[in-house]
Amino acid sequence: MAIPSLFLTPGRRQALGATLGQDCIAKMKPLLDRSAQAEHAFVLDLTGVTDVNGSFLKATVFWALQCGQADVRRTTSDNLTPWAIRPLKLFPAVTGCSGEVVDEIADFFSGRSLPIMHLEKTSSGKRVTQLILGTLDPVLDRTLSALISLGEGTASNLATRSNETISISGWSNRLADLHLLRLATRQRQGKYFIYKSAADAISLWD
Amino acid sequence: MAAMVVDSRNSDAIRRLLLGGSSVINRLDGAHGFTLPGLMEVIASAAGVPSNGELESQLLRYISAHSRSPLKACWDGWRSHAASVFTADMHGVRPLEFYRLRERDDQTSDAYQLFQERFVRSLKENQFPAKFANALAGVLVEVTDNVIQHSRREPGEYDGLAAYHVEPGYMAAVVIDVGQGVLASLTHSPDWEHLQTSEQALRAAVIDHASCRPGQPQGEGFRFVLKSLAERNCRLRFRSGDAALRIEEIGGVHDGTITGSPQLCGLQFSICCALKGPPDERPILFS
Repeated sequence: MAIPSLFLTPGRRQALGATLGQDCIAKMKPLLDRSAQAEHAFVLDLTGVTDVNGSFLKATVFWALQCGQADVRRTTSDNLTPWAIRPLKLFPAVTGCSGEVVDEIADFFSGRSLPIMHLEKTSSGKRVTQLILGTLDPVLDRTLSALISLGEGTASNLATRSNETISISGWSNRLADLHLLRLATRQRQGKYFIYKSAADAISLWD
Repeated sequence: MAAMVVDSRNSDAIRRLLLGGSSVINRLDGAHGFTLPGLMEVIASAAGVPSNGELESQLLRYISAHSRSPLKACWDGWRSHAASVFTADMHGVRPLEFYRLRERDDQTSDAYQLFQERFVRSLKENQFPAKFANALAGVLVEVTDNVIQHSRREPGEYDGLAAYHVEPGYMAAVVIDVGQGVLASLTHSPDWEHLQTSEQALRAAVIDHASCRPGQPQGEGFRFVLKSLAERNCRLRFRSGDAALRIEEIGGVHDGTITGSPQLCGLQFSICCALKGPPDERPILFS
């Protein structure tokens, strides 16, 4: 099933500062609350934005990443502000980024050794193309590529198709890491998880 | 008394006099000009030094006798209910604007957007390249954002003021608040509760990019400020508690110069930038 998207648009050319980011998050709270129960993509749409800075990114798309990781780790928070980090089933991404904005986002996430999905429409329309901005470990990058070419599957499926000599639990750990980084979704099926690239799972412009 | 320009150094001297119980009216009367950092720190002193009623009454006396002084415009900016206060210089252009920060919305409102746009336009009209003008506006936004994010422990009314002064090839921008200050803000976080002095706190915040947010020891704000101004001819001053940190030649490794400064709550930040020549504080030209 496709994951629905929640779009955050700053509404101005310069997306700067934590206060603006927090206000955007607060306005989205009723929508974001849905992601406590069901998976959603959190898409920061920077179309038309000429400048963005770390404080704004930290308050928005990085916040969404931390909330997604809090959900995976089952951590809780007693902070009641709308922008407190709390468990939400969010898969963060950015879209519509111009060249300098891409650089700023890449710098921000590289500085934390983390990746973020950069999603764009293909020229044919609704399908999504994905780049990774920031830093993704080469092993995880290969694992993500393998998952994308498989479509969806378990650690065992990837182990069967791969030439790499690692155990199924090794594959399982890699996929779990991709899920924690919010680059892969997963559904439990019996004893196993079925993983899929988050970019392939997201229903972005349908 | 020799005529002097009230810059940030002399505003320290004025506050020292005030803290010592002396009158400062002679100092103000003897001034033949103000720099924007000096002006703003005098206003912060009036608002932030305990028993400030004395300085406030002396300021009001000075302003009533010098109605065209930029100190009047700055005071109006601080006290005004309007978002912005402009003033014109001796050439009739508007190089000076003050914007008050009282509520959270003051950081994101349409009025703030206009303030930011006028700042950029003033810079472009005064020889600053468009890209650098936008970068400077980004720095101003980031520092005013700090007032909202960090000057108070709990949400409420803020005591902040932002201003810029632009002339051909030169600009100064200043953001002041009389809130809790950097030391109190940082020591709220378990990551930085070991800090004991304002000097340590300023170094941690500006050089080490410390953040008061629990679980997030590194912040983005001053990292962005320094990155935006790298390799530019700028001079920065951060003043909080009883310390001031000056940074020049931004870019590469820099640890700034710390000096003592008479006690004042909050954080006062200024940036001076010259396209040519030294980026010193320059007096605002008024008739």
